[in-house]
Amino acid sequence: MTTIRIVFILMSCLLLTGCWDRNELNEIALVRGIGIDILNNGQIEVSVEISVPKAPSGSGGGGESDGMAQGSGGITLPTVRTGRGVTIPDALEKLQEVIPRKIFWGHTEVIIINENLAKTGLRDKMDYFMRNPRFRLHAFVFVTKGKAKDMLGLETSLYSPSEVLTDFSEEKVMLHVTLINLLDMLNSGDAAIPMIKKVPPQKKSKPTQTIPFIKSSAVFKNDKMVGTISDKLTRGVKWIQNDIEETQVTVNSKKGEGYISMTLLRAETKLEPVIKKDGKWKMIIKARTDDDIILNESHLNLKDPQNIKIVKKALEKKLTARLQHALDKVQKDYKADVFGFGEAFHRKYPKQWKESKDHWDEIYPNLEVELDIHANVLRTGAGSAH
Amino acid sequence: MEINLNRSEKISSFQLGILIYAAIAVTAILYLPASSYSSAERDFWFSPIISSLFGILTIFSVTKLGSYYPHDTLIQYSGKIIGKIAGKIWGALFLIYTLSIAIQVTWQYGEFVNAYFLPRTPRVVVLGSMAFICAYAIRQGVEVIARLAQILTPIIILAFIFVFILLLPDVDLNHIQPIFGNGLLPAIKGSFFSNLWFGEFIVLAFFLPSLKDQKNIKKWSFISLLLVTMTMVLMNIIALLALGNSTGELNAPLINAVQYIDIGNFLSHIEAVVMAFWIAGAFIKINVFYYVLTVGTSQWLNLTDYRPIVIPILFLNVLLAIWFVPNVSAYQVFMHTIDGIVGPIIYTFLPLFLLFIAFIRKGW
Repeated sequence: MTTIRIVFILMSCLLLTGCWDRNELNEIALVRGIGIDILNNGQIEVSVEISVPKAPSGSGGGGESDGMAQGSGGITLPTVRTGRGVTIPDALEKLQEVIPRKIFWGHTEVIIINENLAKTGLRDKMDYFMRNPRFRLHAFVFVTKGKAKDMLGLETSLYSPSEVLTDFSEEKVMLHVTLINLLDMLNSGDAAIPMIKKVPPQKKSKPTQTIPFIKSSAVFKNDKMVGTISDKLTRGVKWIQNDIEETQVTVNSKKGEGYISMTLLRAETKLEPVIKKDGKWKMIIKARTDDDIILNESHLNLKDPQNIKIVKKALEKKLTARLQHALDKVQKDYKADVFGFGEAFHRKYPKQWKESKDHWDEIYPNLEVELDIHANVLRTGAGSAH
Repeated sequence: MEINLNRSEKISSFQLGILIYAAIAVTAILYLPASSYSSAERDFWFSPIISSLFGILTIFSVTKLGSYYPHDTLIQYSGKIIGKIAGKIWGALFLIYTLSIAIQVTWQYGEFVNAYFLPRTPRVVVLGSMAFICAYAIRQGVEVIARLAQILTPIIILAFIFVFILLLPDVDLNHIQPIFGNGLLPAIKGSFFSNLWFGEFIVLAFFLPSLKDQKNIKKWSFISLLLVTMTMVLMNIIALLALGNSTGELNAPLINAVQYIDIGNFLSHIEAVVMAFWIAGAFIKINVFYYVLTVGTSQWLNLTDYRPIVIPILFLNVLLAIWFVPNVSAYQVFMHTIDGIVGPIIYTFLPLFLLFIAFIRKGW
């Protein structure tokens, strides 16, 4: 009896292999990044960057001496494959034809969208990623001017283009937008997505031997791309979005005749929506920041508190200009609510918002915005060379 | 195998409390949040608190009825309260509806496993293997199920806490505001869907006769209710805070939230681990409903033992779970209409009515 039981239990272990859904590592193609382009005939071209786990190459030959290849036993060589079709899944079907292994979506970290495609609307394209349960919503989304395929195909010396872009996003110097953030923004207002570009390759190397980086931002009205803003304006947008992590600001005050650079320790921005008694809507942007001086090329003697005050005023002026600039472009020109002003009103004045949300498109471009910026200079550095 | 006719197995109130917790909370965090969100929007996290009123009513009537008839289950004492024929009709209604709930639970489990983890595995295999171990557990009796819950539930609760903590870095408090921007009404509307889950406390009625300390059951079932409500509210809040406005566009927001966890680029892709615990919870839930169904049916048919009908009923369940629900949309319509209306009537109001009659007959 006991023997039969043991045999039965052991046999039931066979059921644990998961016969239908086994995903052996050597049978799948791990997709790291996906690029979506639109062709002239309206077809969609989907490119994927695939990591193919390979056996260790023994003596470490070739150019894999950058520290990535050691240790974990396998080198991943990225390859880019492409498929075309009328929709993304349609293109993926063609794509699967040229990939000998099963496409595996669980590790996709990057989605790159071509600018022309972004101009036709994002929501329909994002739908596939939302419906596919194996797709991670943590994937970062980018827009690029050229072909997304070319971005994925760059021969980065360090690691794959997707990893480079993930790292850039996690640095948070520029915008960083995951799939779920994007959907959230599209649902509650308008979106801004980082825009990538190639770093100009060095003279002797091939034009593809470089890395992608986040250069600017694409602004979306509803779900269609309406324009771009430069890195400078993007910082302004990040200020208003309360998303400033680490940055250096350099000011030039008239009195000092020279540059003073500061590093930002803390920055906090609050949106304070106000509906005035006469029914006018107004937004107050309150920004508070603490900074340290890290460079002084001016004549100002920073041991004098009066001069610190001058620096402080110059910094406030600079930040005000930066934010105003971003507002002018995004609010007045593009009329896109990437700052979440609408949401701020929704949060504070739910009733009035409910009544007016259908006219938000008319209210927003003419919304009065007041900037209330207050900077503190805390320290002047460990020493000085003056 | 020796069949025990006079039930000598005994469980404690504490065991029953955590058994019920797992049996209710586990599926309440899966598809329910999306339904509540559809009418309550960002106030949907509050809906379970409103619904918990149904839990209080149900627990109150079930425990009171249990104290009137300490050796009987719901099916047995309803005959004594409202007469034999009316009791049989009510029993049939209850069993048919419980069958539909058992089918829904089975279907949800199968759907979840198939949609998110094993898409190519045939539904029959997913459901059949679960029904098979459930049949074994149920034939072993209530003590086994209770001990199983005692082992698994703490792990499941830990997994919930783990998810909550790991999602904290992705939290944006703005997502929850404005709180009650349109008044309480949306949250009340959202509670329409969650009422059923709190009505499920009715299953207590089938475990009360097996208790060795009936005096404590009120305490433990209310603690269980509190924990269920807390679990639902906290899981809803964390999903909302992490996913924001997109919560309503996801079928099972919590799974996406778990997928979203990414701590320092190394602690990510943990959904498979978390969901393994969820499946352990689903196992308890399915067990509880199959147990209620088989015990209830055997008593309704006046059988001396429930064990012979365990396998047929489970077979029926698996079969119906495959046939009954053609697709997700159909299930959601069913959940939004039949379950929303019939659920509270059968699980909460009719027992309350029974209690009322019993009260008239027996006094306080």
